[in-house]
Amino acid sequence: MFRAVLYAQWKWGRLVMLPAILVAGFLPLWALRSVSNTGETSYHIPSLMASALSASGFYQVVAVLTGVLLAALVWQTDTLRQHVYALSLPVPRWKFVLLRFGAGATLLGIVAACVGLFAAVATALAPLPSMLHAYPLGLAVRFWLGSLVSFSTLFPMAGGNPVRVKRVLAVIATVVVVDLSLAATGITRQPEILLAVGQFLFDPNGPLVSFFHPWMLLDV
Amino acid sequence: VRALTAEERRLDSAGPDTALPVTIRVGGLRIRTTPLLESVSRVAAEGAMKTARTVLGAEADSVASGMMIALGEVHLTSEARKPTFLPSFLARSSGRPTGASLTIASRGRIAKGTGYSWPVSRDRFAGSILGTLAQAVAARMPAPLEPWLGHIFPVSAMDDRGWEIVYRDLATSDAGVARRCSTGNLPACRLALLLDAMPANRLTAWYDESDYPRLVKNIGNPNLLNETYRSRSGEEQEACIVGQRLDACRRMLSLFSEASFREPTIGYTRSSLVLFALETGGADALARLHSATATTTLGQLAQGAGIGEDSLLARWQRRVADARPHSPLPDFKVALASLAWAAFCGALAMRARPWS
Repeated sequence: MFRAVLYAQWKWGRLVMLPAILVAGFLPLWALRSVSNTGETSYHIPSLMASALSASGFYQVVAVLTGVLLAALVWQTDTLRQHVYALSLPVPRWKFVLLRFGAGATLLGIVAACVGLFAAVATALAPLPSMLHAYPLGLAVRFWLGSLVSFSTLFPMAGGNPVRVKRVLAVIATVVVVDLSLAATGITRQPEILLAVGQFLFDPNGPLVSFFHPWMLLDV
Repeated sequence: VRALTAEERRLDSAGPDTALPVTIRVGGLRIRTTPLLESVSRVAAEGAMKTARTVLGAEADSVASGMMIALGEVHLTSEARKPTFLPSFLARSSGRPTGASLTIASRGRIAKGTGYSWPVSRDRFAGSILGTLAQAVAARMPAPLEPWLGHIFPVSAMDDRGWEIVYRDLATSDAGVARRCSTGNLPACRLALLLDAMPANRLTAWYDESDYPRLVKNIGNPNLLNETYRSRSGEEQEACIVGQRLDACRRMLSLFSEASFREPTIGYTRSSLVLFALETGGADALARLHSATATTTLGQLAQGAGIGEDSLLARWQRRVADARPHSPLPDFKVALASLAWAAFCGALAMRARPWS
């Protein structure tokens, strides 16, 4: 059953995954571009670190986009066909959702593995200075965690009841408007609810913590 | 502004005791403040003194006894802090302060004056206290240590993260001399930490030839950038930065003044050597540092640490090298938080009934 779900999701998701893998293959080359024509002794470590830092931002963007788009594509067919296929399957709903979620996480794992592989090959071929080390495995794990966070954030919304999702979004929008209005008119000193939500999201132990530290292909 | 000026006049005419009736004493530190700010002042002062005592010991209270801190409330009219597009009747006044003003006097002279928005941040206030303490302690240090420190003595202990920052500063520096220091070259460490006299030719003393193109391109130093633009043509710039032609780089760099070449390490890295010397020297290290008779910075630090100059530098370098981050994998907490969020969202999705 899992293999069937995984194969179906691969067919829907490859439009996202293949470009992501291509970009992942290009990013290490771009990050290491200053090595290529200058050799080990004459290029500059700060330049290389700056390149790795820039690449880190692109890796994060790619991870977020891959996760979000994959989550949307996973449910798109079911939404268009009004979930008839899912209802016809001899498995309970929760198990089907779990299979979908697992398949999504696996596909993201494949993209992350490609990220790690390309990074490992590129850094193995480049003459790195002794002070810098390549961390392709760490990069791949971070990529997988980051894309999984964005995938799982959109997953319940994409697979949920559209009416209910709209209601939830309307409630969120109302809360934002009211909170900002209260702060703007001086009834509260600052947008308290938004700040509390921001504090939760950006807490060092919050769900977005994997994006706080740079995903460095190269580091000291 | 009118309201603030009137408030200042009122406070001045009322006298300091009326405006700041509460006096807090934490060790040697005295703070005059208002009842509303008493709690945050006490917590901040206790935190700052606790931090300073871990490095300075009893000296922290001794130095703090020469300081007088005044933390007062600032009341602005509510209109002054409202967005201008709002009509005035929408702006309500809560009667609470809109900020706080801080004045720190050290040995009878104003050492720091600043303002905070409301609510007053405990950490920012503690940081201000520590900053003034750092200047006061540095002023007690003998020359040449005091100017070498940049007139700020490190008063906060350094944790593993701090040592990692020091390692990163050395290993990724613009200057080859700092990078060599990170690999254990002690003469390079002396140069990188500015422990000897300032070199007559900073370019050749601190930088390798391979650093030159980057140095020319350096955009982090506006002063350097301006001089670069004044001193060369576009073709020459390209020859140096893109073509890596060292003769072009050398010609351009020869036009720079010595002051254009920034120091190879940040002040934080130099502070780490002081903290390491104090840690090595034990309880009496600070007292020995005060009475150090050596004529060089490293000599004074070595006297404080109670060991030889070379030994101090070698031990410090090993401590820095040990701080190199080894684990390529993300922190366990990061992985746990991400997986917990994924599990939570997955559980939410399992409950959903899209057809209902």
